[in-house]
Amino acid sequence: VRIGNLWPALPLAGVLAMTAACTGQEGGARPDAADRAVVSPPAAVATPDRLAVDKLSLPADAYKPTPAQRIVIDRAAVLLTNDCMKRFGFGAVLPPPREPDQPTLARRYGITDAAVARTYGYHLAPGDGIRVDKKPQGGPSLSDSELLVLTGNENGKPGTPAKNQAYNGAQIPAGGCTGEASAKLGFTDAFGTGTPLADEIDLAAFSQAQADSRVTDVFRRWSACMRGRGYTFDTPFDPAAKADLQAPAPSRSETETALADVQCKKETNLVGVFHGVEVAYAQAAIDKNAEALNQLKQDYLAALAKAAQTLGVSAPS
Amino acid sequence: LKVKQWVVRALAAVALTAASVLIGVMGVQQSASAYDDTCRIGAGAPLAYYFHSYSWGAMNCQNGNVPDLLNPRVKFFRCGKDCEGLNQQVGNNAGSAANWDTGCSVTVWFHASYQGARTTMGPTGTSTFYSETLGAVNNDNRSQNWSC
Repeated sequence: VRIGNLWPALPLAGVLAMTAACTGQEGGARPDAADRAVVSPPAAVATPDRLAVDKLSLPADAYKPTPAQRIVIDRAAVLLTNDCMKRFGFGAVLPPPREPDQPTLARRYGITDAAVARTYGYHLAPGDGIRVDKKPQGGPSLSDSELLVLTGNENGKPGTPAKNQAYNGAQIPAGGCTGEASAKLGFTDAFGTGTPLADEIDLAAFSQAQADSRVTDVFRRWSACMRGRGYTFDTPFDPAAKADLQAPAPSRSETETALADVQCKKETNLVGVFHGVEVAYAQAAIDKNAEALNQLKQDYLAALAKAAQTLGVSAPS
Repeated sequence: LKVKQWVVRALAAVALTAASVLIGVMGVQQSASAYDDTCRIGAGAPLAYYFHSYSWGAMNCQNGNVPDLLNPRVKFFRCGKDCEGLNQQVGNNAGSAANWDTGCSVTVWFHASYQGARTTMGPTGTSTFYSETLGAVNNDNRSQNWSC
């Protein structure tokens, strides 16, 4: 999908007025999967100078369950799934889910904290909203029989329904025990195992924004700033891609590069411009998909209500 | 994506014929710390990438945090429902993914070193464990990290 200059350039205010004179998107070919979330280049509102991202949010967040709501839905889904598995003679195959991490825009526009850059370079740092612990890898696997009853699929793999949808003479629910739990909670196509529209909008808006001429212009100014400090990179995502991230700790060269990167982001207001353009794309996509988004929200709120009833708790607002 | 499918379908017969040879060659190109040959489902299990959307095409399973799927370059080395995409790179080239860990969430990022837009898949059994298309990190999946 290629995005053309369908909308005329509109006056921009504030810092964006200094960064771009048009709304054209020269690059920005996006996957077909995100078509409904792709919009024509919108005007953007003025964006104040920004570097810290901890107070920033995205407009499509209003159409997603909060972490507190998500954990109620997930706990109910796991409870119902395990109850179903027990009917077939299995134990509780799914552990209780833990609360999702708070949504954060940390690292969305690259690293932005000078203290982090000075110490960690482009390596992961505490406070990024990203876990740095070693991930556990050696637990028990589910058996073929457990996977069949859990999902209704051959070996549990998505999209491969087993020919025999019975286990020990008992009919397996459609979609297995996870399918039964989903049906009881009223998961729909809009709110299910696809990529929900609100997430598509977040992702497509980022992708379109980083190819938008207003953002590529600020990338060029950032690149010039970096060149003035002795570094040659085209975009603020390039230094991390070229760093030795397999090394257990950053080199001095990496931390110095990262510090210059953060300073140049500040000098060019890269985060403010990028975020402002991204929010404009997201808002345009929300306007384009208002009906579907409202349906998505109704669907997840209905699932939340059923989940809360299942658990005997109040639904978080 | 459609263009990629068209091209790859044209090459599918060749890829299938060469599969057994390619598997031997590709085995040495996986990141030893992240590649998970088991592709199993359970506690501590990996994220399965598919070359195409809706879990079609060749696969690669990655476990642990991976700051850059292109460095070292990892490849789709095993057949899934079909073998399209075998020996293609995984980074910036996946069409869908399924989290087969029953206890951990996994996030896939647009850029290296966990930067840019991202999409998160919950543990197996939750509503978000499988991404049919990976959204806009479709063909733009560069790094992954876990939350347990």
